[in-house]
Amino acid sequence: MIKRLVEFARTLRQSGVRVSMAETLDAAEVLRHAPVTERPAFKASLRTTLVKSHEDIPAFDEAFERFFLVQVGGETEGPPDGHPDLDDIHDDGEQDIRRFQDEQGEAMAGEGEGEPADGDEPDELEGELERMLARVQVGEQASDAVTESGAQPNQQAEDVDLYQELPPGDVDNLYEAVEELARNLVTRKSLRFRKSRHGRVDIKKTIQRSFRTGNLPFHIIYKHRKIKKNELVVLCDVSGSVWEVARFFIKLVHEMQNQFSRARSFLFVDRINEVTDEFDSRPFEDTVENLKDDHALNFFGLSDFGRAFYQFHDEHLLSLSGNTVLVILGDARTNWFDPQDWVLGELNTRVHQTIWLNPEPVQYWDTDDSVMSKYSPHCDHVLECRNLVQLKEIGELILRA
Amino acid sequence: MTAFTSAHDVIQRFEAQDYICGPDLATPVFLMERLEKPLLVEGPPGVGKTEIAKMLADALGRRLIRLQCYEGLDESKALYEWEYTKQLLYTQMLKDRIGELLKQTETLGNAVEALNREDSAFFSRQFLLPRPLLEAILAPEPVVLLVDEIDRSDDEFESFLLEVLSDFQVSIPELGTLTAAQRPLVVLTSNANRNLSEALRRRCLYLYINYPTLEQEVRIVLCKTPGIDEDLANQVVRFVQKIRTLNMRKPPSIAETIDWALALVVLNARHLSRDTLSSSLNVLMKDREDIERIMRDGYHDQAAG
Repeated sequence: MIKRLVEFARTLRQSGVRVSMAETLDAAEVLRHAPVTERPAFKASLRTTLVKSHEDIPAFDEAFERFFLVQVGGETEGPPDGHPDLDDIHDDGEQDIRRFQDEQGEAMAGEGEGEPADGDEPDELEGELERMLARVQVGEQASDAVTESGAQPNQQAEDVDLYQELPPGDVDNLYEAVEELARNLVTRKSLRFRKSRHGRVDIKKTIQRSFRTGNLPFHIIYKHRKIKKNELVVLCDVSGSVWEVARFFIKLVHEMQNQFSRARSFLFVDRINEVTDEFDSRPFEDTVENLKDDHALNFFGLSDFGRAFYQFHDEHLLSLSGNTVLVILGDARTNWFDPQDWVLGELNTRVHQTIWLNPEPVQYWDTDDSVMSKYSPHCDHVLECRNLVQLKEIGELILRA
Repeated sequence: MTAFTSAHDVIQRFEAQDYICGPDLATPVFLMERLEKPLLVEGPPGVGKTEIAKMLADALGRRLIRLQCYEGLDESKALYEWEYTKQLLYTQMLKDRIGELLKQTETLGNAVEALNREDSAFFSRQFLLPRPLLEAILAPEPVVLLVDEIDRSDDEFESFLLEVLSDFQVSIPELGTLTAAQRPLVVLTSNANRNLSEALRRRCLYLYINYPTLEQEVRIVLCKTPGIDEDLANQVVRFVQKIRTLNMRKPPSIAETIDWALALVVLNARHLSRDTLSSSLNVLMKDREDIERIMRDGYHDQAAG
């Protein structure tokens, strides 16, 4: 009967539910305590051991109905397709578990020699069990490998080239992936905060304070290391294909915004337009799509970096300070307009750091109307930004800045 | 009180405490007690996840120890802490005794050695401030440990918890290893703010609680709202369940349904109407835009009509 359980676990795996060996054993154990003749309880018992994520529950329900074709009325004893009766499960469950565990051990031992050693000539059933277990283990290892690579639903999301038009479904998935990435980055940052808070004892202050309590060091005072929060200013070129990357970067900034004393976002094509407050009132995804229709932005115009920088310099120079991290996202394609790179140089002297992110592959920089090398001397970092791995590194860099 | 005999027993004992549940919920609870495995409970906010632990403690007559998780929770808040101030205070008060003790020593080295021998006096259980996890481990009688909103803690804490939950023992450098006299029943709850690790999920039994069915929720409302008319309860629940399908910013929880039903009873409402709705909807819905949407779109007509 344990065979049925193992088969069921395999069916689950085929429908995308990750079931481990330990969980299958748990399920077998559980069936000794649950009244397996009652279908709802039987189902609930299997579900609580084999399914560990609510996304998988529909898949489980479906597989369960398909697999255990037992009539609810309890009149038909032998289910179709030679499915063993549920009572069987209960009766020799214990014995089976022990055998299952033994077999497992043997199969482990036999691993590496190809076929399990069959010196004592196991009978047909046991042979079958062994083969089955070998299969299970292969599956097991495969699923473990997946687990170790940190696989979440966004397993391949990391490699997706963002610098292209993506189908809407993918965009949503990627937004989720960016959200998770931001969460990771932020947690790591908060951990640093925590560590720094548990500073060493400040002897000087503790002694000073102890005078109040008759030289009894009653209050221990710790050294607090202050971690300064930077101000973040983002300038995003959103013309044409850069938009595809820009929205993910804006999403990342949006998710990390509470890590900065202030995070301001500006979009530009040929004129600059602040969008910082746009995201406060409505869900992010809606807002982002609406931005395209903003007339102030002239979304379908030709991008003019020089003019945009000059306008920013004109209107916002005084709001920059030594705490500001200036991040510019753009392909540096000026459409042959004057790059006015001296403006960027002047901005750079005012801020703490300037980071330029270019969504184009490095080999295309400085081809045609791209003037990356004119701008790069005025930046502390110039990075390619076209997939989630790079986005993550950039996030770390910005948080560290 | 004795252990559960079956999932039905769980349903009955929970129901005796006004907690209505079906076999879907009772079976995992029964099994966790039988197998002594932690139970991981997930589901939308306000469906009674935390309540399960309380019911479990009451039904089994055990003490409930609660650990509320939050970002930045660390070992000193979850496990134990040394009471530095108490240690210092004792050192000061015992100054003379310590002086006496050291009087007989000749060299500084001897003095340090003598003091070293008394080390254990200052790192003993008296100066240990147990936090929930250690409390659950040290408890002489079996307890229920509730780890609430585990998804809010950091990854590091989750791995640490995994270690504690697997063998219920803790090493304190100054004291040695403390092992649980009994295995506490552990209930973990999560709102899925963060994906929990596979390892943690593998070790737990899993229970996903969704919003209750119409009949269940009517029973819950009738049970928790004394003096409510059965018709009104039906209307209330049908209305709430309809709202839950409408993709609100903050869908109403069971607790809010009950609050709302209570409010309606206090307001002497016999049935739902636009007036009763506008005067009491803020008990049910906690978001201004949601309220406006409901009042504007006239869902009240469909539900109440």
